[in-house]
Amino acid sequence: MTFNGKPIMRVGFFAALICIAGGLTGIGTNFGLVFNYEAIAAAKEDQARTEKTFMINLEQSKALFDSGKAIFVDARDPAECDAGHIKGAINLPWEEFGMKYPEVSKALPMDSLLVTYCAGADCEMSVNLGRKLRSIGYKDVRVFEGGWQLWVKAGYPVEKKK
Amino acid sequence: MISGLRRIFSNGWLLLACRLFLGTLFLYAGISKAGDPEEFIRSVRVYNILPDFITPAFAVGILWIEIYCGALLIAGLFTESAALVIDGMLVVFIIAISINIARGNVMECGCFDFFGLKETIGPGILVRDIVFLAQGALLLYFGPGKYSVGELRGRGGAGAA
Repeated sequence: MTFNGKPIMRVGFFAALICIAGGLTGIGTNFGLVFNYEAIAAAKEDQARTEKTFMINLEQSKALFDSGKAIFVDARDPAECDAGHIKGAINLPWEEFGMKYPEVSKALPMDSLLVTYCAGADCEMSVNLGRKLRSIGYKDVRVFEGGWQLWVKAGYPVEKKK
Repeated sequence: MISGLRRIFSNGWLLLACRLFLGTLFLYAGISKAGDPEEFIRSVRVYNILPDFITPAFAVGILWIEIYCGALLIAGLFTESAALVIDGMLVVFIIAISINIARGNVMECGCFDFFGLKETIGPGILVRDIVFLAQGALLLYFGPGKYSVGELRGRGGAGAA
């Protein structure tokens, strides 16, 4: 039997070569992915799940505040925080993280639920602080998107440094 | 009648059109999947036909085979062999899709997700794959048609037609 005048064995031979070349290129260029797919997929799923719960809104923040299970962490600089902050919040300024973290680390156990916040929805310090805290081992860190501005506007409990 | 059909299907321009169409389609499909192999592995997994530990190697292999076959078809080099591989893949796809349609699964095809288009498996996809299969069969049986590298090389041999 022939295909376009060519013996089927030769056509099949080159077809097999194409498959082998494709297979080897695919596995060769994705070696890590092929042999660690389960671990990579699990890590991605885990990350996606964490990202989903990373940013929280005013209602969710208030619910966590009321539950008493969360520790609120103020990412603004000390002067702003001293002028007024969410009741019970701990000041850990993002700009001075390296210096301040050792001072407040005792009040922030690794297994605690932390909620970071800063001035409002536009400031990035709470997100940066949240990511940093996660990177050093905190398992459950959330970022209150609306921050101080929204909390005050809602009339929720606040305090000043005495 | 048969000789008339044979004359139509062996037309060099028709074969060139089939070659360029299938070649471009598979080359582009392969390249777009190669950009995110993880997503393609996930798509293959959803079919739930192969054992999980084989799926990643199978998926990354398939996407590169698509790239090679597409490039060879466009060039008109080893056309019959590339068409044979493409038809083989299409048969596998048709079987996999049919099994999942029979199972009643509504899922993404993972076939040609161009421009973010997410297709769901169904009879339309099967008909489309059968049309591609027929085009591949023409190239397998009648060769590359006009303007192939094999023709320019003017050599015999398996694929260099």
